Amino acid sequence: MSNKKDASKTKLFTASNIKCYCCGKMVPDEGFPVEIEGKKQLFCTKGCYNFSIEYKKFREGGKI
Amino acid sequence: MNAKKKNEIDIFTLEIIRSGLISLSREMGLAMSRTAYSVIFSEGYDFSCAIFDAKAEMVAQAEFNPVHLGAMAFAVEWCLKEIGIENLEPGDVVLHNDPFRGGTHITDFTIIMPVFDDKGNLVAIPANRAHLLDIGGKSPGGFGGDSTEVYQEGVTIPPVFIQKRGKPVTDIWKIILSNVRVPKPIYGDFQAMIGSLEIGKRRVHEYIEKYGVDTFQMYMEEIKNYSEKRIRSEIAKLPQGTYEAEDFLDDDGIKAQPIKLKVAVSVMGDTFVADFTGSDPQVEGPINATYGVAASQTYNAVFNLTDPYIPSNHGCFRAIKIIAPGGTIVNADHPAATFGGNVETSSRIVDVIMAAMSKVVPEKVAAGCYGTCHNCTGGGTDPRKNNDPFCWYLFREGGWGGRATKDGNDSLMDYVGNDMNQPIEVLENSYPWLLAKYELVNDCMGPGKFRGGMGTNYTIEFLNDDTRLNIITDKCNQAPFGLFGGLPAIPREECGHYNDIRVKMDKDSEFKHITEVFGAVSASKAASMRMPKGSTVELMTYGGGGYGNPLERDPKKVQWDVKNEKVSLKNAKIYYGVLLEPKTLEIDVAGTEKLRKEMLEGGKSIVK
Ligand SMILES: [Zn+2]
Repeated sequence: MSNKKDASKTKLFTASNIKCYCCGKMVPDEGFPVEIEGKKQLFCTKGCYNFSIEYKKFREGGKI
Repeated sequence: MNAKKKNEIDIFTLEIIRSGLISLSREMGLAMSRTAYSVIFSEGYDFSCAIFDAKAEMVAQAEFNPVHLGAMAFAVEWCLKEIGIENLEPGDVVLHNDPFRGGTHITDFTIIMPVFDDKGNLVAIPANRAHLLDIGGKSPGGFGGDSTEVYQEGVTIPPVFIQKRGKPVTDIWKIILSNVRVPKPIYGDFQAMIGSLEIGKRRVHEYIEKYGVDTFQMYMEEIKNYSEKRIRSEIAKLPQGTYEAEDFLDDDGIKAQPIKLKVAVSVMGDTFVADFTGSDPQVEGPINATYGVAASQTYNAVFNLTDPYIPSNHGCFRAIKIIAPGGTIVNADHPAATFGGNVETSSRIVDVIMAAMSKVVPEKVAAGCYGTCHNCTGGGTDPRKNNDPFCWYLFREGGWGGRATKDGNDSLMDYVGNDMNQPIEVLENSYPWLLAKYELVNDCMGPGKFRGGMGTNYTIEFLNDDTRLNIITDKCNQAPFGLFGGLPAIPREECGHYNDIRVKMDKDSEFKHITEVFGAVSASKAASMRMPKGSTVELMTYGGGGYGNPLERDPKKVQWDVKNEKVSLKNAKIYYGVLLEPKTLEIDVAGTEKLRKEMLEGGKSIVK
């Protein structure tokens, strides 16, 4: 076993590509995880998750 | 005597504090421009200032750079999350330039200064964002048109303290100043930025003293609520539904193929949603936008569609939702190259939202703008100044699109930047240049009942031997669009001009395209082109698109354009159906009526 420190576990490397499942915004903290179709998806906030449901309904109403 | 109870909002006080904080943002900007070292600060105003509250929400901004202002909101929030509010102390200054943390592109630095009350509670955060002349990377002055990752574009500085408890953090200063080509002006510009925050801090303390912390904070909250109410009521007036549009960028500088932006705009009750699903994946070249850019340009578009007197702040942002899928051209993943995302793709984001909304609010949109910040940067050494190194950043203005009641503006900075013209005298004094030509470009404006504005031609001769030149622009292949019978801008080559960047390598040779001289793949994006003494670059921008049928344009307006050499006799006839007597330029009324009738009946938009 290596004694070397795992760089990804330090807080020094902070560039992140973890993005919200709905809006695409970076999720800098733990975010709001939801299971969708058996897969865990991360939303930036609970508000964004609620919005995603409303928005889906609105779009299903038909576009102009 | 104040008859109001505690916690009760007094509308007069609200208005005084609201206007005062906007005025403070302006004052911070003036301080920056007057103490700056570089021309892009002092003359170009490529910076923005704003006041945030303790929740890192924007309370006030002034009329600076729209792409900075919208994205700064994310940068300040993410700075605080990363640094930790508990680690902030009076006299601290935090700096960062990461495009992927609410940044715009890597030369744009955001700095913030937390302001505390006498009990040590965070009250407000004056902040500014500014474009520094250089941050290292492969191309002097940035904007390497062939960069393929952010590491080539410069040094990323994550949120760090550059000042702690009022004292400079010299280790950070040394790292930054040893990685830039022009450390002296950059040091001076950073000091100007910090100085402007000091003014912000001083004024916030004056508000605390005058109103008390609790009252001041209560009003900051109410300022945001007021803006939210107003913008929501404007959005709710727009026709409910979803409207789609597509637009394209010429290429990414690496592959000669267009890149698609797609938007579905939904007016959903009193919320405005811009959904960019379906836009092309991120590209190899440097025109990837980050989330901050997608958001700021969506805000920009909404502010153009609503009452311009609504104070822009976090309250407005609450009513606007951006869906920008990760890994696409509007929200690239690290470590994509992003220099042009902030200045080119950003412009297309506004255009595509406007194009979608033109279907329902034709009176509120304009035809296509010249659609680029036409970025030209570079550097070298100046023989007039002991061979001191220099870097520059020039952004060029062009024609805006025709509107429902007016022609498009001539020669104005693209709506994403809102920066100022840098005067020739100052540029020639600052850099070893001779400005050989600066003129309006005639005839290429999109014909319409209200025609597009005019682009410009700007030609620089280099007087030193070691200039390296970088270009990121767009709209060399695709003309700004027309609306409601208005025509797109006329390709510049049809009017005796040129559609792309041209260079002349010595005084006696001919102008040639950069694709011919430097083998650039793209006509609009290239990097580190060696320009010897006596060489010249020609920067030409498009006119705007036309609005409404050009055959409905008042013949007197066409005559005026011809008299002022904006439109040629030939184009007056073929696009507007207006016949003028060649010598006197009097209108041939009968001939014009007949020609217009023929064109209308024949369904011809152009007669040749
Ligand atoms: Zn989200």
